[in-house]
Amino acid sequence: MRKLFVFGDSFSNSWERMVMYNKNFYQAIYAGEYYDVNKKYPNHFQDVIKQKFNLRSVENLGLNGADNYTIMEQLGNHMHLIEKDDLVLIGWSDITRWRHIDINKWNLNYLGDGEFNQNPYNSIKKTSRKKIYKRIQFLEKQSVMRNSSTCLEEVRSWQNIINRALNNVIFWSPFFYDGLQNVPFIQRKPPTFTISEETKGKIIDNHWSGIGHEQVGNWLCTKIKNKNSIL
Amino acid sequence: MKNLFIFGCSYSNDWVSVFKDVGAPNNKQGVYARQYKKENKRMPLHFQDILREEFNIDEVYNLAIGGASNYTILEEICKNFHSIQPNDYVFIEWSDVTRFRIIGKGYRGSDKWNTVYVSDDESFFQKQSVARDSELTHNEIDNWSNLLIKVLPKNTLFWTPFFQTHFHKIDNEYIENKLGYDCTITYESKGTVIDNHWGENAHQVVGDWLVDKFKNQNRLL
Repeated sequence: MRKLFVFGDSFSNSWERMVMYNKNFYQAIYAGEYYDVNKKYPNHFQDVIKQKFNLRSVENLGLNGADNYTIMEQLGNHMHLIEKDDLVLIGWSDITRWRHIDINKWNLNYLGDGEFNQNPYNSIKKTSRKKIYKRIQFLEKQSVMRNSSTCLEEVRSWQNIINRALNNVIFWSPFFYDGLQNVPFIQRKPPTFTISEETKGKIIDNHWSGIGHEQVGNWLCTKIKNKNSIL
Repeated sequence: MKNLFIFGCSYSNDWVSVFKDVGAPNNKQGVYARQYKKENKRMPLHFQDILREEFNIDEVYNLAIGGASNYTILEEICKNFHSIQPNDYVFIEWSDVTRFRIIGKGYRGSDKWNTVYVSDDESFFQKQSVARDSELTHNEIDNWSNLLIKVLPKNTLFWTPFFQTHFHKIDNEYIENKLGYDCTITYESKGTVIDNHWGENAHQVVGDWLVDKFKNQNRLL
């Protein structure tokens, strides 16, 4: 019996882990409310795959907000746990994300990160404001520039080696790159049912709901069955 | 048939490639190699020559890139590992962890990776490079290494010419302690070429040190 390993960002992270570690996130609030009503967490794509392929257990190592460098590091950190028959799903994050070090921790940069909102910008003196603005401009511009086949090539090169190290690995992404050529992994093309839709707007969050996860799980099962892992 | 694969930055770059590229800006290693060849009718010794002889290597594939960050080195390994056979030897020299890369514009506006160094003076870059001398970047490399050892031959060694206190799995104390100013190109060329990369004497020392590390199974992992 094989084990399933799941790596990725918030689209891959399990409900249990989110409720435990990211309880203020809308995904966790949704999962918590769902649990209160149904006495179980919503469906997750890992459950669909586990059942379909009769897998022994699931080790979910997804991290909310992760960029691909973090996912790569998370994989390296857990390589020793993966055995040759195990199934590994690597859900690459958005290539525009990257990380830099900020006071001894990795700080993730997203498109439209909204660092302005996090900073008490108006209370900062004018000279510092200019510096901060310049820095934010650079970070934002770099994120935009990363929407590039050069970044996809970097991921492709990693896949070469991961594919050699692991026997059963699927590379995929919840992000869809419409304009870029030669994407080296399978992409989940929208639409997929979201938390906003399922809660009828009560919780505004565009991550997948339980129903969405079921859709994604079935889609991934087909890809796994057809060995459509794309390299 | 045993081949030697070398990955790294300018400390691993072979003389032939820097010699060819002598017109490139700041390529003082190339100037040194050219000057050395003119005087001695041969290229300076490189640590790869010592490894080649010691391990009876048939072919050397030096895939080091001058100025590379560790992200570039990892990508180079990932792109070339399909050529590496189980009996081959692989020496992976990690670069300075303070280096990183960003997307910039290259020829005719195409995207290209630009390496950011600690000496670049844009304040965000400068601060970021300094901040990267951290346990976090070393952990990042340790974790890459966990993946790489799964697929690379048993004769693989990770090392670095940069002395960095946070590296857990790499012993670089020797390089720091034994290679002083008198091992630089500046010293060896008597100041005619100002460059703090290694000259021939240093390559001899480093080559012997790498052989010793390798033979003692001190793979740094």
